[in-house]
Amino acid sequence: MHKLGLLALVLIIAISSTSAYAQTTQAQAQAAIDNAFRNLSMAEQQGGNVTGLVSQLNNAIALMEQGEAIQAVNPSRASILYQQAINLTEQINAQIPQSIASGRAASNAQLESLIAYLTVLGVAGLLVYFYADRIFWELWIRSHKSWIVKRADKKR
Amino acid sequence: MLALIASAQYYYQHVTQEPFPELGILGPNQKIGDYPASLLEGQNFTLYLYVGNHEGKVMFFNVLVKLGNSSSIINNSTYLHANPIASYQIVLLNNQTWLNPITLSINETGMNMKLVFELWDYNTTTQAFQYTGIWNQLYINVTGAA
Repeated sequence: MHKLGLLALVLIIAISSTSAYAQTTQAQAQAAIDNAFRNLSMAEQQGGNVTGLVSQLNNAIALMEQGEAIQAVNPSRASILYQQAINLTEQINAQIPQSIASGRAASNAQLESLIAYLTVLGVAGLLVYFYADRIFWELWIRSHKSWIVKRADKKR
Repeated sequence: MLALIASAQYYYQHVTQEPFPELGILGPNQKIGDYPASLLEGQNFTLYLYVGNHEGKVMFFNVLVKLGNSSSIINNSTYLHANPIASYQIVLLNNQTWLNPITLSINETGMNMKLVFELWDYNTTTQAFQYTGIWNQLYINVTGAA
């Protein structure tokens, strides 16, 4: 009888701890998602390309919401889904530095191409300003060098 | 002159003039209309949730679905003080939209009940969701199941 009571007590503790664990990991999953979003937002501010990371974070959110949906009926399965969501956020966090680096490189390349474009545009502007009339008349004279100028009133 | 125009274009392509989010509730046919008006208690019904991000940056939204009555107060500065019956989270890039079917059921009866949808966004400074002031509502009569 005493053993039976002990067994019941162990069983109650096991069930309640499983339930508490599932509940805790739901909160942990939400915290991990929030944290991953903060990192992702920072990466975007620093010029990172976060398109792929956003998709992954939405997958993590979907896993967490699936866990919430079955929390009441299957807490152990819910706990697994929460853990998968957390694992996914850890993968996202690991990719943040690379995202920032590639974003900065792309941003720098864009800026460099803009500077090059403006430089070419400026040089072309100066060349036109200083040499356009000379080149124009030089070409005009060359293209009209065979022309013979006659007096219009010669017949009179 | 051309250099000036090019510089201005480069600058303004990175500036969002008036940042705003979008929230829309569409009926079961993905159109504005055909919303359920009368339901049985516990009856499942489907709507489509539309969220758009035009904030000029990546955003983390949370749409809370709440139930109120005809005297419940909600406006662009006050959210409905009721527990959510459902919530939907989504992260959206700038100029990205999201259309998602949602299935809901109401487990209480009442006439002219308000089904309220509130848009919240995640504030990275306070590290919490905050009410954006954007909301929608549907009036629904819910009667007891026979």
